[in-house]
Order: sequence, then structure tokens, then C-alpha cells
Amino acid sequence: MRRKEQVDEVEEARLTDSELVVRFLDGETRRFQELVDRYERRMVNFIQRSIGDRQRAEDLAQETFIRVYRHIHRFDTSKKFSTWIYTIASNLAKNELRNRSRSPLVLFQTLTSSWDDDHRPLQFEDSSMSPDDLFRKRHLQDLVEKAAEQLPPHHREVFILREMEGKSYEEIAEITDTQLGTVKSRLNRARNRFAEIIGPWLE
Amino acid sequence: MNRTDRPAACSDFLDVFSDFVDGTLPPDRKGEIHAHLDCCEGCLRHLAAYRRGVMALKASERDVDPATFWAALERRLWTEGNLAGGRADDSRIGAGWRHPAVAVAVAACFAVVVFFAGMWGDHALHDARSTGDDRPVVVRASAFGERPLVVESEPIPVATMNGRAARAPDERRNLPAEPAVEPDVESARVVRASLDVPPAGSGEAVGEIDRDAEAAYVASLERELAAWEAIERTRESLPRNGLRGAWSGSRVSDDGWVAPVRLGNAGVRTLQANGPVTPWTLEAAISLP
Repeated sequence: MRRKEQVDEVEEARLTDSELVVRFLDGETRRFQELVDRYERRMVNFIQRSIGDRQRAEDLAQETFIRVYRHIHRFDTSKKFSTWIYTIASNLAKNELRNRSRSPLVLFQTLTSSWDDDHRPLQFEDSSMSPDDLFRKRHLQDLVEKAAEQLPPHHREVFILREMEGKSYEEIAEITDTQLGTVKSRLNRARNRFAEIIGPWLE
Repeated sequence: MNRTDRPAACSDFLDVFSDFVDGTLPPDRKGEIHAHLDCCEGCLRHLAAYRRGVMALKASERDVDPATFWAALERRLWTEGNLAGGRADDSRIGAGWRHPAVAVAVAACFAVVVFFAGMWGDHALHDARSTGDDRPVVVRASAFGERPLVVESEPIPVATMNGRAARAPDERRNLPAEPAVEPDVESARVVRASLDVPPAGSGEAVGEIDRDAEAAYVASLERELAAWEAIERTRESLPRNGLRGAWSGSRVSDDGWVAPVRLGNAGVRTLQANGPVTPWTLEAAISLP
């Protein structure tokens, strides 16, 4: 029995995303959960960096998977699943930012989530580090997150997709529905701006 | 560290900064940049700050608890139906959730109807195209269906458009004369929105709370928000010619219950519905003076 589980795990690791989709559509329902396992962390972090709100990012990541589930039968398996799911997540994040700009209530939610971050418990950090190191690490992470948040949304999006998610320029163009040249220019501006913001803070 | 404060060689470096970071510069160009970095402390600091910042940003990525995430997702997926071999047929999400109006509403799940009316009743120089009455402009969306939210737009046929008629000066209200306004044919669009709203359930909890019912109820409200947002976008897309009235919104249930809703996203965001959720139609109208 244990051997069978091991074989399943190896097989699962070997399957591409598209193969998982095909198997799910063939009736292997647990394959959907495998897709979720592969992408949940990436989706939550990607959306969080796009909108700056952890709790809302988890909601939107779930909404992303719901949309994947709803439309999976229309997914073209000759294309990259990751591009598709990032496109969905990116659109949800953009909607969120658009709504937030018009909604004082959501603004307040963002504010409160920032307070939560300030009080993030230390026990989730690396316990082998000294309190001083932990403080410095936390401080640096806060700084760089703030620097990323200061980028204009459409610059921040390409910056995150490239640096955090490791997407190619072509994938970013597809996800953000923009021209390749636009992606390149936005990325160059975003990178320079990020360095300009973070530079003085690190000195 | 502003680009405009830098010498030409530094600006040159900033122009290709992204390519340099990606390592996609041609070898000769890369050599030039390295030579510049050897003698420019500012650009070297810029690069170092960038690399350190990106590393710290990557390290700040946080974990997600897979079990909690999946449990919450699974609950929401149940309301979508048929997860894991038809679990949506589970009695907890029983037939009561399905509403016969859904099939009809799928076909009617769109729509935004927009017409323009002339504005003032005292038009001295009525344009032949002006309606000249206080007929409201209506934006309507049926909020049921199984299709995803799709907003399509197409140009409004010129023949159906009404420009604002010219208005004679109104001495009583001290208003000057206004010339006729031609409709903005280029920017005007008819927008149709199809909305995905699953069958909704009751938000009332009697005895033990049915979590699936609760999730379905919340999901139905979220779909309603999406419907309102579609209406908001439609309103924003309307040419402004002659539209000077006040917008109001309402939520009309199939059972005839009409609830006014304050328009604008802040109002929509705080929307709450008590009692059973029945099929509804959302309607936004502009009342012209």
C-alpha cells in the first residue's frame, strides 16, 4: 500500500500541468486538488504583491481557482496552464485595485491588513536567527515590500511577474494583455524605480 | 539618483538596466556597461540596491496553509456544483437551490439597454431626434445565469441615438441658451453584460448553521456585486451628452420586492440582503429633470 502511494507521488510529480488538466477532465477529480497544491502559494503571493492585502489575496486566489474550475473544459492544453491561471489572477487583482480606488470601505480593509502585518508574530520566522537579525530581516522585508507597493500598478505587475514569478517577457505580455515592447519598457522603468526607492533606505 | 541628474553614460546604463539585469545584452554592450560600473559608484550602488532589494522581496514570500486553503476552496467549489464526482448533489446543496428561472435567465442574461433622452421640457428649438420628454435612461442587468461575466460592446447605430436638443435661454432660471449637441458616435457603445450568478439560497440560519448554505449565500452576493460593477462600468462608458440627471439603483426580486440601492461602489460594497435570496434584476436609471 505504501509502495503504491510512493508510485502515485512520483507519477504526480512527473505530470505536467496540462496532463493534470486532461486527467481531471477524464474524471480523475483529485487532479484538480493537485493543481491547487502546485499553484496556491504562487497565486496568493502574486496577488498579495499586486494588491498589498494578504487576506484579500487569499480570497482572490480562491476565486482564481474557482474560475479555473469553472472554465477548465475550455482550457487549450497545447498552451501553458501557468500563463492561463496567472492571467485570471492578474485580472482579478486589477479589478480589486480598480474597485478599491473607488471604495473607501476597501481602503479601510487595506489599512487594517497593514496593521496586521506590523504585528505579525515572530515565531513564524527562522528560529535559528538572533532577535537582532530577525529584526533587521523583518525591517528589510518591510522596506522592500513598501518599495514594491510604491510602483504604479501596471509597472508593479510586470515587475512581480518577472522577478518573483520568473515569467518570460512573452508570457508577461500574454498575461497582462499588452505588447512585448510595452512589457519591456514598463519593466525597465519598474526596475529602475524600485532601485531608486530602495537605494537610500539600504544605505 | 534621478535619471536627469546623471551624466550621459549613467543614463545609458539606466536605459539598458533591465536587459543588463536579465543578462540579455550583446557581449560588446555588456562590456561597455561593466567598464562604466567600474568607474561609477552611483550606478554600482543602484545595481547593488536593486539586487539586494529583489532578494529580500523574494525572501518575504509567505507560505499558505494548504489544508486550510483547500478546505475553504472546496466549500466554495461545492456551490459551483459537481466537485469530486457530483458532491454538489449532496443534500446540503439540494434541489432547493436550483431555480427554474435560471434556464430562462441564461438566455436573457445580458444586457444593458441605453437610450438617450432630450433634457429639458421647455425646449424652444426642438431637434427632430430629441425625445423631449423625461423618459429615463435605463441600464439593466439580469443577474442570473451560468455563463461567466462577459461584457461586450458595440457601436450604437447612429439612427438610434439622440443628441441633446438646443435650448433657448431660460430667463426665469437665469440660464443661457445652449446649442444642440451631436451624439458622440465614435465613443458611444451599447454594452451587453452576461453575468454568472448561481442559484442562490437563504441567508437565514435556523438551528445549526449550514455552512454550505452560508457559502452559497455569500457567493450569490458576490455575484450581485459583479453585476453592479458591470452596471457601473456601463454607466461610466456612456457618452455624457445630455445626461445630467441623478442616477438611482434598485434590486428587483422576482417576487416583486424592490430594494433601492445607493449607486457607486461604496454603496454596492456595503450591500447586505436579509431574508431569502430570490432571482433578481438589477436596474439603474437616470431621472432627467
